[in-house]
Amino acid sequence: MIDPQTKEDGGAATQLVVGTSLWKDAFRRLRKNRAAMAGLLVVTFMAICALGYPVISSSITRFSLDEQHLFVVPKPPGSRSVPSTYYKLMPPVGPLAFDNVDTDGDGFISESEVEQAYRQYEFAQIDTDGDGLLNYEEYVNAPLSLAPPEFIPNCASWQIAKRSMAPPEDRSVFECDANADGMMEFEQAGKLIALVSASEARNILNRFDGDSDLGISKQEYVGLPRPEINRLGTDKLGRDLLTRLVFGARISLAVGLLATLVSLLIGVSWGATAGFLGGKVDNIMMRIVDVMYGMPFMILIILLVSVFGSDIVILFVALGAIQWLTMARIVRGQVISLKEQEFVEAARCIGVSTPGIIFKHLIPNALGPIIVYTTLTVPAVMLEEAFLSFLGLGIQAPLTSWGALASEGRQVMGTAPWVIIASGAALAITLMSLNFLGDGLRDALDPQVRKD
Amino acid sequence: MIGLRNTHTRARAGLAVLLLVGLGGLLGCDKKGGEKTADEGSAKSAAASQSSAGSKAPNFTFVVAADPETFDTAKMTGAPEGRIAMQLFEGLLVPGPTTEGLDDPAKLMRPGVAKSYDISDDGKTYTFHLRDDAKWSNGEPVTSADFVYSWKRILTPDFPADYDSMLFVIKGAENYKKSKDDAPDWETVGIRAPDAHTLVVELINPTPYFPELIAFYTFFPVPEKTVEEFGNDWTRPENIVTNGAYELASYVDQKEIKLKKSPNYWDAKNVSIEEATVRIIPDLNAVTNAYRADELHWTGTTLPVSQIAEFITHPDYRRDPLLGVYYFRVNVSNEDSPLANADVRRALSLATDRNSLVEDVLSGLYEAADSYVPKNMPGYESTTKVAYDARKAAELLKKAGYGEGGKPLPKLTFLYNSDENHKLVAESIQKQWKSNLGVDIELVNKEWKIYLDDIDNLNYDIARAGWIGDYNDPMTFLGMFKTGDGNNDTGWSSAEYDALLEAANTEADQAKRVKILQEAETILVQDGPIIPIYFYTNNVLVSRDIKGLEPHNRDIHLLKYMSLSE
Amino acid sequence: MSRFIIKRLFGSVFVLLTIVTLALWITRMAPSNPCLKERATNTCGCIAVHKLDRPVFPVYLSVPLEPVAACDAWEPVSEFSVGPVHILTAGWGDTQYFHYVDQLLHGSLGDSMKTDRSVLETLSSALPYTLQLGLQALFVALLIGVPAGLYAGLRQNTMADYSTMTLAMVGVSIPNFVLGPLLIMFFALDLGWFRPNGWDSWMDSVLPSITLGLYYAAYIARLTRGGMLEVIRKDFIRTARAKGLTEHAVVITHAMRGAILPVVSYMGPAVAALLAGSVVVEEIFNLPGVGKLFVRAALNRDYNMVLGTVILYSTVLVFLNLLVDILYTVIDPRVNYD
Repeated sequence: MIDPQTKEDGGAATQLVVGTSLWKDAFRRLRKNRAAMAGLLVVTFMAICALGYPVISSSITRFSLDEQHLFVVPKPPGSRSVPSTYYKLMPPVGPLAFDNVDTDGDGFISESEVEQAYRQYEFAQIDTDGDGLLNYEEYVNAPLSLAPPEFIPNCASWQIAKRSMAPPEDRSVFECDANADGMMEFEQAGKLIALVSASEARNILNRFDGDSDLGISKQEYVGLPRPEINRLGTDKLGRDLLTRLVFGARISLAVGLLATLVSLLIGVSWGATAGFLGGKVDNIMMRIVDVMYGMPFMILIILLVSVFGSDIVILFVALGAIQWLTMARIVRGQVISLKEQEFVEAARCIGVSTPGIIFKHLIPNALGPIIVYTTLTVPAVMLEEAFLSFLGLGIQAPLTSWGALASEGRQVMGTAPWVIIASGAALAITLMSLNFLGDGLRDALDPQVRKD
Repeated sequence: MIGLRNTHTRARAGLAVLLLVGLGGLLGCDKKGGEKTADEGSAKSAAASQSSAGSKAPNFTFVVAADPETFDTAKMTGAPEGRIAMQLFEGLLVPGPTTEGLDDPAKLMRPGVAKSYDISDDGKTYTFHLRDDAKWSNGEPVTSADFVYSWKRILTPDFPADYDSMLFVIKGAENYKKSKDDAPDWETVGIRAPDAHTLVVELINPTPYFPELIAFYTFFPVPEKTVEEFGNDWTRPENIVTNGAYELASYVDQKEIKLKKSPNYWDAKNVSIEEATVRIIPDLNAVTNAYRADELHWTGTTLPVSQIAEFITHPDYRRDPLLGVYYFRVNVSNEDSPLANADVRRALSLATDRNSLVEDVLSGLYEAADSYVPKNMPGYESTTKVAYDARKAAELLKKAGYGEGGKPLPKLTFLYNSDENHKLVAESIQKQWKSNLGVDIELVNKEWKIYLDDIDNLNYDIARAGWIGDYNDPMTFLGMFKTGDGNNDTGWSSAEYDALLEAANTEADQAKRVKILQEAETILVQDGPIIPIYFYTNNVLVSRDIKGLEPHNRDIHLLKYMSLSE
Repeated sequence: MSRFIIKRLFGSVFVLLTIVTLALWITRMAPSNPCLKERATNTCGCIAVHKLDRPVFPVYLSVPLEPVAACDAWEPVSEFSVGPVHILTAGWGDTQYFHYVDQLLHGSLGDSMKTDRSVLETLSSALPYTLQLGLQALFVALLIGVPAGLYAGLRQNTMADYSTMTLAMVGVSIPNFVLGPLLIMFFALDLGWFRPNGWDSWMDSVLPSITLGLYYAAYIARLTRGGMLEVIRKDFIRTARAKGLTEHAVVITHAMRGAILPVVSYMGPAVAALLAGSVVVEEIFNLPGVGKLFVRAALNRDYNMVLGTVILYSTVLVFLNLLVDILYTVIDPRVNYD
């Protein structure tokens, strides 16, 4: 081997061939593949988000995974909710001064006064020109007016149902533009500016009501929690979607990676051994694969879930245990083809031992399809986990994964399409990136398919 | 994609991603933005008195949520098969189209195979006079012998009828069924057919709800010849013989059941709908989608809270009353548990804000309970109310020796079966009791069959429960808490309560009987092992083109009353 | 070759028997009682009919189902302890296993535990739908995937290649339970071209087949392209070209065989995946097929139905795998099984 440290003299154009390993060579090629690098970037970004979930939840979105803000319909992206764990306090000044909030002046802030204070807040947010009235444009841009139109129906002619929960004959409809001047006043805005429900207001009250007298006194009053924007809207239980999506990244990616690792280890060893040894051993090993193939895994999962509970570790093992079968088959197929090739004979002539042949020669050369299949296994496993969650058997509440979110999203598809779109997009983008990456790796590693 | 020097590729890849997100977003935005201009659409449909629901279906179409377990009326227990059986068969009496505005339970029933009936003075003997023109779908007449045969079949020991207890109000029936003899004596049972058009039934007690019971599918006649000839296969579409307004035209597993009007039905001239399709759709989200696509005239099954955004403001939405109560069972069998103390139980009940639960957690879909027996029961009103009073609750708890300054309460488990609705309720109650009483509850969620097991074996502290009434009489709700009743499952036993129930059973005077039952309910609510939470409602979508589909608190809707205005 | 087939047939039967045994054991071991209903008075009767209080095998550690208190408890033949383990034995004829196999040999899969119809009847009414769905999806997958892959493989590194492969990438990355609802939302609810669920005419199977098949179309396209790339570099292709054969002849006669090799070996897992995917698609589109039947039965603890569908799936898969292996030898003569 030529000493890579030797330098050429100035002027002489001797090209030194620097020996590289298979892997360095491959990595160099990978770097040139822009799609694969883009994929790698996206996956890394997702992984960072997943790892950074605690920070994101407490400082960026300010919602925790499971806090519910029930509101009949899921709120669209851009609407607001009041966080209950990571809230920031709005100081008791201006419109939030004690005397302004305590409208009946009895020295205590009650539940309904808390509700009113938040309605004022929301009204102020929607009323962008600050004139105390909502014109048509401001109404249209209000996040809750983007909610299912039947919920805030037809305010093009300024009508809001007073109690939308009542059956049609009982609904008293009143004009929200009472004096037909083209503007909506605070009192008429109804559900459009509702931010908290009665029980939520009570919960907020309880948090600050130190002496449990069902009211906040002046001494106890330190301001109110600031509402935060639900950047991707909420799901049907009022939980912030973005927070859940990031958490879902954690679970989906973890399940994908770990289960794939399991299947990889088992599948490759099994398949390569079977393929190489051939004959009876191959027969038996593949018979076992066949038996396991014919067993639909749903029963296994259901049984495991009902006996041991829906444990996430069980899911890792179970999902990994299904995927190794195909890996073993493919590897075995490859090995069978490769077995006849010359370099194996050559290795045997030299006297390499059987495990040596399997692990040092066959597997690296079969690596192309192994890597391709691995990078296609990760998304496949993620899909399977999502499929289980879709049927209600996978990740259980309070944990969530992208698949579980997609399944929830499907139920409210007609009125809240953002749920399934967000989770579907997250899944699709991640899977695509993984696939691009896998392709790039395959092209980089497969020595036969060179550009030259 | 080897050696990607071409920048086009990455751009193309990025474009694909954007395309995907964009397409999805477009679909979503299309919904949001498009819907605002489609306000005209919703205004239009709101203004229109005609519904377009069902316009794409070839005939009257509605949904059941599962395949019928059987078509044999003696063996069925569930709602899907019940709904269909009510169209195919007819009993001595027939439920009327509605329960609204009726105060007298006697007005709930109409003549069926029996054109009239007499009740003896002591209220224990019913004589039914069958009509002459009642026929089976094969033309043969329906006679009293058919009823005797059918009821005897159910009461045959070892016959797998899950609702056989319905017949135990008849004298001698329970003994006959549970007899260990080889040949129990049928003569001891109070069912007689003196002639082909008369049926005499003797009851153990004056049972004022017997007319309603008779209209239940367990009491329907089955065709003797057909059953004897085909055995278990008698219900196949090619063999089945029915006596109701409709015949079974076809049945495709998991897909649909088709009904057609029976020409041999005695009242066929008043039956308007000629053909009906019953689609089998277990996924309720698919049901609302199908309704919106104008494929259904009626959703048939009740819609759950999780779907509320899809139907709550649909112009065809209807909230009908339902005779059912959602409550908590309390296990009082453990002497050391605080729950054995009635004051503790009442404290928990007082600490429950039902209104806020229903409004906030269940979006107002149901009715907060103010008693145990549902409000919509004709001819009965509860005298004891349950209320929300956190202060009083705390006092009671203190009086029992727990709470502030007293013994610490151990952690109690709350059992519910896996369902999102139940989970929401459980979590809300957990918060309420914690903040109102400082009680710690651990939520335990089990799958349905295991949940049933646990309830049966008293393996719980507090459990979620629900009960839909079988007939319009308080006894259906109160009877099960008798000492040792199979559905009691709480270990509670009160001699006073049992005595009151017994007294009610033997009381022939309606007004007095109601008073006795009110007393019994009072004991149950104040002392008993239950905490009522809300009354069920039936949330459905019904096309405004249908006449005759009126609110019925037992969700019994017969196609023979309905007509479509096209 | 025929010796090989016969050997494999025997092997397949053995495999099936193993699966049946395992499946029976697993379904019976689950801890809930399918005969328990909220208002049942006939639990004991139900248990007796399905023999749920009997052991599954002649030697067992405990009776799988605790008999409900009031029922007649069944007695084992003998019991004894080996250390901490308590063992009971029973006669073969009393076991659930015997009962089930006996039933099977008489051509019956038993009765459903939820409805009063036989498993065989329900399965046979559901099977045509699933078969049609699966075949249509496979058709979609092959019809789109193979030509696309061949096309891309032949025009490697051109725009045609890149765009085709990118589309394939998108297809592989959208889950079918996201695609399905989106298609319903757009084509059925908004545009009204299709019905949102149910299966009355062939038109209703279009959206489901696309939903199920699109993923595999994309996957097959990638596989075919990969196969084509491998083959096109082989010496014998160079020879063929050197000989002066037209490109058409080269591709169709020589290259295609090698190119579709990976697709053929994928057919086995593909059908398995299609069967699994059909569960979701049938659930979303409410199709009366085997997949939905299986899910409902599993969730309702209808063990006979679950067992019946397992047997059905297993039979299909095992024999299909055999077929695929045979096909593989036909296509790649290098592979030698004997």
